[in-house]
Amino acid sequence: MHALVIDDSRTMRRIVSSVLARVGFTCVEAEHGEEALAKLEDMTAAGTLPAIATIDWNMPVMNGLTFVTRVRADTRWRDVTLMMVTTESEHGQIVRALAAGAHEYVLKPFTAEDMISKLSMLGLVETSAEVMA
Amino acid sequence: MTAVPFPQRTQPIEESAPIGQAVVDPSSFVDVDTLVELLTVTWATFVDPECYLAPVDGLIERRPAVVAEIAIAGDAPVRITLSVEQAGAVLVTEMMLGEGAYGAPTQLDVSDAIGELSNVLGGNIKALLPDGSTLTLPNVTAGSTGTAGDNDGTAVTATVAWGPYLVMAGISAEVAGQLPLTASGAAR
Repeated sequence: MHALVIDDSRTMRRIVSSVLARVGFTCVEAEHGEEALAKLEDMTAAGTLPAIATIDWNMPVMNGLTFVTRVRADTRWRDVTLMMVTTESEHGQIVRALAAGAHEYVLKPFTAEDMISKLSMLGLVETSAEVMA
Repeated sequence: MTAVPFPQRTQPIEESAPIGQAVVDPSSFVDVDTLVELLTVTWATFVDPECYLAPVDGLIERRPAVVAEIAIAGDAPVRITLSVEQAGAVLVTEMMLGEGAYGAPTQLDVSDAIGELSNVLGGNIKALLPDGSTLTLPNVTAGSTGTAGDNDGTAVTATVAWGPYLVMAGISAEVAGQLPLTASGAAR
């Protein structure tokens, strides 16, 4: 399975990619929403549509919320699971992201187990207990 | 703080929001113990699961450090500073990236890693502030430990030892015109 990891911090992209790789994902990285849309087009053309995109909220050029809105407006990408990975914990913001079409929300700081547990809940990996055993 | 250019993340180009003008006493919403707790959670999650950050009291020796600043705009505008002693910052970066996984960290890696830690710290502090606050992207420079809150008497600062390295976090009230940072229009 493929994943698209979107964060303006390369450190955070590597951390998230490392967790996803651990459970079998092949990751493509983007540093903002606009680059992610371009990567998503490339992946679509290559037949490697990601099963999931992890999305930081505040990024230069195009933020995560706009990216979610753009992806949800395109029916080609309706099967891509969208997971916000952000420090934004304000209830209203979480509601906005979910209303825009995000499926899941992970707050920073998070552990690998936190993320794998969310992936498990989304049905994208084996049960988290099996993965972490 | 010495303003030595560090590699930066691309600054936001989306619509900007001005940093607020009101001055708030940071101690009214966060105390030193809370700040140490937030540092500990951040370190334990991303840097060193076994870490113990020991509070350091008394006179703080100034040492060369990587210093990340981040601002929160809104009804209670504040500036957050995270200073990590230079050698410790390199080790932090190695541990965040996975020791040996990417070779020796570059200056850009170190800048990015400390900036991201300040972002996580800032996001958690923002959760203690009134709704509607927005966080800037981090600005990382070379400075020294002990720079947190230098310019403001209302600062709340916490200094901890991570092994032999000093780590300092500070929250200071935002003073109009003080910050060369741009608040992005979106919450982080």
